[in-house]
Amino acid sequence: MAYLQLTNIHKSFGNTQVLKGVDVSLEKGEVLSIIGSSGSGKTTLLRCINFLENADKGSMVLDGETLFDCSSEIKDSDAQIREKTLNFGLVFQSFNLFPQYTVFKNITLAPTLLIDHDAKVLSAELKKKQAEHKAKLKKEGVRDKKQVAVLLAQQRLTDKDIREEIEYFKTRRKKEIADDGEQLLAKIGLVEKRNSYPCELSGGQQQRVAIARALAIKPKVLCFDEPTSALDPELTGEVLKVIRSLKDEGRTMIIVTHEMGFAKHVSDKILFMSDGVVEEEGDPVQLIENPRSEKLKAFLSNVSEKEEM
Amino acid sequence: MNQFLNVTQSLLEGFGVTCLLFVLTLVFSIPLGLLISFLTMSKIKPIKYIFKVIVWIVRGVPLMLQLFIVFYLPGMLSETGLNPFGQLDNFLYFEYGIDNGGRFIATLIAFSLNYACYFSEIFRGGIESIPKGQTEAGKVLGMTKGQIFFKVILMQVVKRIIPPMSNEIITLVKDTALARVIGVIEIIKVADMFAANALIWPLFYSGVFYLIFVGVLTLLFGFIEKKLSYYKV
Ligand SMILES: Nc1ncnc2c1ncn2[C@@H]1O[C@H](COP(=O)(O)OP(=O)(O)O)[C@@H](O)[C@H]1O
Ligand SMILES: [Mg+2]
Repeated sequence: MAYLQLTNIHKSFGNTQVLKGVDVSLEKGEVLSIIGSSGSGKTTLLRCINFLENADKGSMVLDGETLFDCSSEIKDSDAQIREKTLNFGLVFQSFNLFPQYTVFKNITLAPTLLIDHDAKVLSAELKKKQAEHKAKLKKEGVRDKKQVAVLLAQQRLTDKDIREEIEYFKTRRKKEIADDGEQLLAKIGLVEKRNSYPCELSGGQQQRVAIARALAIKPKVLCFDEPTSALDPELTGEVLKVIRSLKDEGRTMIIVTHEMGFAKHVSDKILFMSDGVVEEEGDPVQLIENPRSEKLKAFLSNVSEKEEM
Repeated sequence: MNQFLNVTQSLLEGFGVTCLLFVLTLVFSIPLGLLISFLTMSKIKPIKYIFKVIVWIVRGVPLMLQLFIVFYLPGMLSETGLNPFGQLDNFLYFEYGIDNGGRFIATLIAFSLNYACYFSEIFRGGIESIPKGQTEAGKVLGMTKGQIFFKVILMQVVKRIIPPMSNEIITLVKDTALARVIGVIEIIKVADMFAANALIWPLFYSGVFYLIFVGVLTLLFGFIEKKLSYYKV
């Protein structure tokens, strides 16, 4: 099975069927571009992948783990869905940066908020180990309280040790997140905008920050929904350049785009959606230069006409 | 001169009651308003509509009438026919030497409910005006609902609602004068007592206290707006 496998995804809003059985498969490190005319269901597909919508039917498997399967009775809790969401990053057409935070805080906010949760998990783990060790000592007949304390201390499992361990973990995570943040800033070429607010940036710069923000949670798959559609033409280049650099790093990405030239060069495969189904799919050059279906031919000629205008 | 100092001192005492009512009303009505705004946005239809109707009633009936209702209705419904706020007046006077404590509490209840409903509509408007993309960005980044509200949405809402809130809060300053209708001795009531003894000017003079108070609030809101001007929503 592929690294990312979506099978037979269906989604309706009321009576309108938007996705009518979409399959997507993607290998690790591959880039998939999704093209198609407006209203064909591209955004809805990305939203299903990112848990912003629940598919009505179908399943999604990533790296061997089933992330959802609509045929199953079991419903995930909010916490489980949050955990699964972290496998994916999503870059929105309209950036959606948090206006009240600096560029740096936009990037580091989400991972920072995860620290407390992770610390709780770690604390529970250590407490469990402690309880196990105590039980073991009891079985071995160690009764003396002082001796128990000494033996626990040897394993670094006293209450104080655990507290220290948690503190250490938190400090270390904060440092890592800050370091990651600086690296991401360098990657998007906005080190000097570290302390600027979104309203002080151009659209292209905002979208680059949005990309860094999505990367900060270290997603396995990064999704883009028309990342350059809201930008002035002269600003699309800088965003596409960042995306291309991510491709060179070997990131797995799904890109919904109208930039045919870009899609042709950056993708490992292209998927053409029309009216809620995958109409055609294949090698980028093949698909764009030798479209088979009438719909794709019509779509491509429409796009190139627009580009010439 | 002596008379002026006397009047000033008496008015200041009344103004103390006015300020206390103002501050406590804000303390109770802002959190309650936030709660009501959530309830009027609830996905559970009955809850949503019940609270929408409550907000409609509270905003639709004069505050003065609500003061009377809060003050008199419990006594009318009780078996003994005694007004519990009147009893509270007596209790607080004999135990702690506080005058009109029961009436003050009745006023505080009516004011807090009334302003909570006004605030809830401001909060709801503010929350609903924040683009859905903000919540979605938070979700995609794995934030909890609480984190999305407190870390992402709230500060944007605060910025948006400052102008309508400052209007409403300034209205509250002046609405406190209504408390006198159930016998709370706030500043205008004090001035009115001088007027009853043919000393009219304290009534006009009391306006100065309001003007200064509202002036300070205006400066404060201006300052907050400026403080928050570093970002746009
Ligand atoms: N939340 C929604 N409620 C109702 N209809 C929706 C909703 N979201 C999308 N749609 C409809 O689904 C169709 C596909 O939309 P979308 O996935 O945004 O297409 P694309 O991104 O390819 O332009 C459109 O006809 C749109 O009107
Ligand atoms: Mg779209």
